[in-house]
Amino acid sequence: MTEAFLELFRGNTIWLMLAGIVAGIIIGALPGLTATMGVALLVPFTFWLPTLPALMVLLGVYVGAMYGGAIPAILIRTPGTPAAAATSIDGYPLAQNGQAGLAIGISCITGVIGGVFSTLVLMLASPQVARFALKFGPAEYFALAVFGLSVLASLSEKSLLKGALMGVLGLLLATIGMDPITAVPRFTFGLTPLLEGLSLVPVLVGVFALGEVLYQIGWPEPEQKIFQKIGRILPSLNEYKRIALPTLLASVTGTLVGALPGVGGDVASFIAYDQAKKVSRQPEQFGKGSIEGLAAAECANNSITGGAMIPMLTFGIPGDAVTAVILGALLMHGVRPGPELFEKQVHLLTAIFVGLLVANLLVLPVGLAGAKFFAQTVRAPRHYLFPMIVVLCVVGSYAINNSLFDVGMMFIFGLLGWALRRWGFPIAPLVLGLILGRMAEENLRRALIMSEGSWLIFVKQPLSLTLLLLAFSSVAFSIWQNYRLAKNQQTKNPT
Amino acid sequence: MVNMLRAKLLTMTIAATLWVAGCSPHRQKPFPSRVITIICPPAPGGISDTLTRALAASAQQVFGVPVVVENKPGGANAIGLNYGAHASPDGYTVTYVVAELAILPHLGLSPISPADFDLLARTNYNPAAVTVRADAKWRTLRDLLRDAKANPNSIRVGNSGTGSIWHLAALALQEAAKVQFKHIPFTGAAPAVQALLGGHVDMVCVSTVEVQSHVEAKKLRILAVLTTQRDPMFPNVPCARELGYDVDIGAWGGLALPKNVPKQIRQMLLEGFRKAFKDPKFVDLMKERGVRLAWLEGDAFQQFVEFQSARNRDLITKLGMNLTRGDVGHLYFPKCLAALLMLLLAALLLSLRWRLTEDSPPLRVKESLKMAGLVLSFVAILPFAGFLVSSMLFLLASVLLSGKAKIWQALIYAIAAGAGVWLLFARILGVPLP
Repeated sequence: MTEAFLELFRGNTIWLMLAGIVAGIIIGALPGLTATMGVALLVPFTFWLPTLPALMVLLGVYVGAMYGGAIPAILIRTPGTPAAAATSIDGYPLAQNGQAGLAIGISCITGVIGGVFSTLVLMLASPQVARFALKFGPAEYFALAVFGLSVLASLSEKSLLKGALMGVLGLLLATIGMDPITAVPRFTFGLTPLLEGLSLVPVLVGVFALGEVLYQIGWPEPEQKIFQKIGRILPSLNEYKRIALPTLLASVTGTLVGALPGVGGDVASFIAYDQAKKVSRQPEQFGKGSIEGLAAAECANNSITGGAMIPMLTFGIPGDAVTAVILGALLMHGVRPGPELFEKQVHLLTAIFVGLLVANLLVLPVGLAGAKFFAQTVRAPRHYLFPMIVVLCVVGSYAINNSLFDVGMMFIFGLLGWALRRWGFPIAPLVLGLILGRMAEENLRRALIMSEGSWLIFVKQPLSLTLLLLAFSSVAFSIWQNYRLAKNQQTKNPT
Repeated sequence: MVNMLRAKLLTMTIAATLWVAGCSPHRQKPFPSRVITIICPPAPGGISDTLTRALAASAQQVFGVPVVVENKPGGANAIGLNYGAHASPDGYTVTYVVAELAILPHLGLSPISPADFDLLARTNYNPAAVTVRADAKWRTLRDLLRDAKANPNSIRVGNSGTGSIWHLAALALQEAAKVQFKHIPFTGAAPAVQALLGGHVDMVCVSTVEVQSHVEAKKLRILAVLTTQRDPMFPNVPCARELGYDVDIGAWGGLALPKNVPKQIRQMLLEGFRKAFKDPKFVDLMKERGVRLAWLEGDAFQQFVEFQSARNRDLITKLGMNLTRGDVGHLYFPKCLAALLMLLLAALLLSLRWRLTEDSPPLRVKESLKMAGLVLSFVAILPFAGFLVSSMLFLLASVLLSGKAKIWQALIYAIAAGAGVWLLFARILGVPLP
C-alpha cells in the first residue's frame, strides 16, 4: 500500500493525474462532453505511456469529469453530464439566491466524500458487493427501474399530475428506436439515426441548456438582475450537520447502484435525491434551493466512481459506459480484471485503489480553488453568455456521435424545453422517464420470456419483490408528504 | 441608421466568409498527400475502436501522412457503414467494416450491403465459443446438445441482441444440431455474460475475448469453439468441425473502400495497410486485447464476406427472429404508455381548466422566438459553412440583435469566442467539428 503511494509521487505521475483531473473537470463541465467521451478521447494518448501513469491519468479524467458536470448544472441550470441532472434541481435555485459559491462548495465536498466512501468500499468489500450485484437478473432490474420511477412522485414540484405526465412522456420517448427484444424499428419514421433510439446527450442538452437560454432570454429585464452574487464557498457548521445524513445515505446508495452493471450515476443521483427529501426536516425546501437535495444528488453521482469499478475489477464486467472504456484501456496495459487481478497482480490492484482514492481527494482542492473562478460565469453579461452557451450546445450535441442529426434533435428538444418551462411543466421527471424507459421495458420483456409469460416472476423472487414493495411505499410516502406540506401551507396563509 | 449599418455589416461578413470558404486550392498531388481517415462505425472505447486506432498509428508511419480515426456510431452501425460507402472515392476515406455489414440488409435495417463496398482486406476474426458455467451439468458440447434435444426450449441462451452475430451463432448451432434453444436477447455481449455468471441464463455463444478471464478463473467453461480449427489460446477446447458440426461463425472486421477508387491508389492502400498490420507494436497491442488477427485479402476476403452474408440471410429467413415465447410484443409497452398519457392529459385538462400559467412572470415570447430563429439558422448553415464560420456569424448576429453591444464589441467577441471554442475542441481536445 505505502509502496503504491510512493510510486504515485515518483516522477511526474502525480502531475499527470492532476492534469487529468483538470481536463476531466473541463470536459465534464462542457455540456454534451461526458466522462465517457473524455476517457475515450484520452485512451489513445495513454497507448504509449507506461502502465501506472496511464492508469492515473485515466482515473483522474474519470473522477474529474464526474464532478465537473455539477458546475454548469448549478450555475446555468445546464447539467454538463446526464448524471448531473438531479444536481441542477436544487443547485440552480441556490445560485439564483446569490449562493452560487456555497452550491459549488457543497457539491465539491459531498462529491469527494461520496467518491472516497465508494473507493473504501471497493478496497474492502469488492467480492461481497460483486456477488450481490450478480443476483440482479431481468426481474430485479425491472423492479429497480420501477423503484427509480417511484422518485417521480417527489420530483413533481407543484402538481403531481404534471410530473406524472412528464414521466410517462419520457418513458414513451424512450421507446423510439429498435425494439430491444425483437429489433423491430418503432417510431423511427425511416430515419437511420433513430434506430438506436434518441441519443440521450443531445436531448438533455436541448431540454436543459437551449431550453433554458430560450426561456431566460424572454424574462423581463428586472428579473435578470438577481444573479450577480457569488457568496461564500465553505458551508457553516450548522449546514454541515444538515447535509451529514443525506450525504451518508447517498454514499451508500450511489455505491450500490454503481456496482450494478448497466445502471449509472443518473439513476443513483435521482434515487438519493428522493431519499434526502424523505428524511429531511424541511422537505418543502426541495426544488427551491435545498442544500440537502444538492448534497445527496452530487454525492451519489460521485460515489458511482468506486461502485462501478467493483464488477469491472472483480469480474471484468463494466458497471457503466465509462468503465467499459477504462476496461479496454486496462486490458491494453496488461491488467487482467477478474480473480487474477486480486491474486497475481496485487501491486496493480493497489495502484488502482490508491489512484482512485488520491484522484477523489485531489478533486477537493482543485474544485474549491476553482469555485470562485467558475462562478464568475454568472457575472458575465447575459447577451454575451447566452450565445456562447448555444455554441457549446451545438458542439456538445455534435461531438457525441459526430452527427448533424443530433444537432437538429438538440434544437427540437430545446424548443420543447422552452415550452415546458413556459407552461410550468417540470423537466426532471421527463429526463428520469427517458433514462429509465429502456431499462424498464427491456427487462420486463426479458423476464417474461424467461418465465414464458408469467408475471409471477416479479413477486416470486425475494429481491425483486422487495424492490417493488419499496417502490410502492416510496410513492405512498411522497404523496402523504406532499399532502401534509400542502395542508401546512394552507394553515399558514389561508387565502 | 445604426440598424441599417448593422444589417449591411452582417451581409458583408456573410459574403466575405463564404468567399473565403469557397476558395480551396485544386491541384493534383501524388497519393497520399493529406490526412487519411478511417471511419470506425462502433463508438469509441470498444475493441473495434482500439483496433482501428492502433492500426492508424502504425499506418501513419507507413504512409507518411496523418491517419486519423473518426467514429460514426449509431443505428446498429448502419450509420457509419452508410457514411463510409458513400464517401468520396479518392482513397482518403477508408471504412472499418464489421460483421453487421453482412447482417443488417437481411434484417431490413440498412440498405447498405457488402456489394456497396470495394472490400480491401480482413483484419480480424473471433469465432464464437459455446460457454457454460463451470458447475454446469454438461461436460461436453454433445452432453449439452443431447439435453437440448430431449428438452426443447429448456436451455436458456443469452445473446448480445436479436439479429446480432452472437444470436446468429446460437441459431447456427441450433440449426446444425437440430435442437431448439430458448434465446434471450441482451444489449451486448457483456450483459449476457453477466447473466450467465449470475445464473439467469445457462449458456452463451460469444467470442472467447468476452469470457477468457472467467474461464481462467474457473467460473465459466468453454465447451467448444464454433469454427474449423482449435483456438491456440485454448488448445484443449474442441472445435465444431472435429465434433462433427459444420458451423463456422464469429465476429470479424476489415478494411473497405467506397466503389470506384482508382486502381493504383487502391494498391498503395492495400500494401500500406498490409505493412502496418505486421508492425510488432500493433500485433502486441492486439494480443493484449485478445483480438485474433486474421489477414485475408483480395478474392478470398470477397468470398468470405459473400459466404457470411448468404449464411446470415439463410439463418434469418429460415429461423425467423421472433421465436420468443412469452414476449408481449414490441407495441405492448408503447400502447400502455400512450393510454396512460391520454388519461393523465385528460385529468390535467379537467383539473386546470386551461389555466396553465398562473404564476409565471410576464414573458417576452418575441425575444425567445428571435433567439430560436437565430439558432435554427445557425444549425441550418452549419453543414455548408463549417463550424468556425457559422459559429462566428451566429455569435455576431445574436449579440447585435440583443442591442446591448456596440458593433466593434460584437465583432471582437464573435471572432474571439468562435475561434476560442474551435481551438479548445478541435485542436486541444481533438473533438471533430463539422
